[in-house]
Amino acid sequence: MSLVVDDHALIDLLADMQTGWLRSEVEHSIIYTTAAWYFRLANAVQHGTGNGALSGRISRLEPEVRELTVRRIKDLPEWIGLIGPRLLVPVMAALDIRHRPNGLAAEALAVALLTNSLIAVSVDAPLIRAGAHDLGIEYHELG
Amino acid sequence: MANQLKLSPELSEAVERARAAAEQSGELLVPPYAPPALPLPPEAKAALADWVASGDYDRVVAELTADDPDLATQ
Repeated sequence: MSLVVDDHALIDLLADMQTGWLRSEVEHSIIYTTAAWYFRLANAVQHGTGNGALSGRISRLEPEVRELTVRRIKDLPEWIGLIGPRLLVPVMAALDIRHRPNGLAAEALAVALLTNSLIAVSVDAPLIRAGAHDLGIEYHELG
Repeated sequence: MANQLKLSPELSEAVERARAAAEQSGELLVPPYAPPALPLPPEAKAALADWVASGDYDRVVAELTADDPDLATQ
């Protein structure tokens, strides 16, 4: 089993704070994320005010957990898979779905196809959900 | 839970080509699956590290495995 996780779930994983379904799945799953989600998270760490959805969550972590999480965001552990654009872009461009996806959605769908992963998001993403439905990719909203 | 993919021939070909390239480049991860970090709170991790560093962990393992051929590690 492989998962493609969004930036919010990535915080949980990097902080070792995953709960519920995600916690049970990571025990036996390979984890991937996308460059777009990773960039949003890294950007929130670097430039966030602490008031945004991502930077706010990081700022509320316990100091030692926050330090570990930020270190991992700046140097992503190798157990988080990341596929490069050289391989992904042809798949993103070939996506044949009803609603044209933006770059973030197309990348998530392409990673899921390439790695045969389901997509797990903390925040519902309608474009990804619709594309996943069209392509037969499992889409899981984390509670 | 598993994907039930519904792909056009063109998309399927693009995916297969990218997957083969990802395998060659090492971008596809392989098992072991679990992240190296245990999902334990920092206090528990520190306590485990102290236990191992003190040598007590090795002593307990040696006691448990001394008389059991199935559990012996050497």
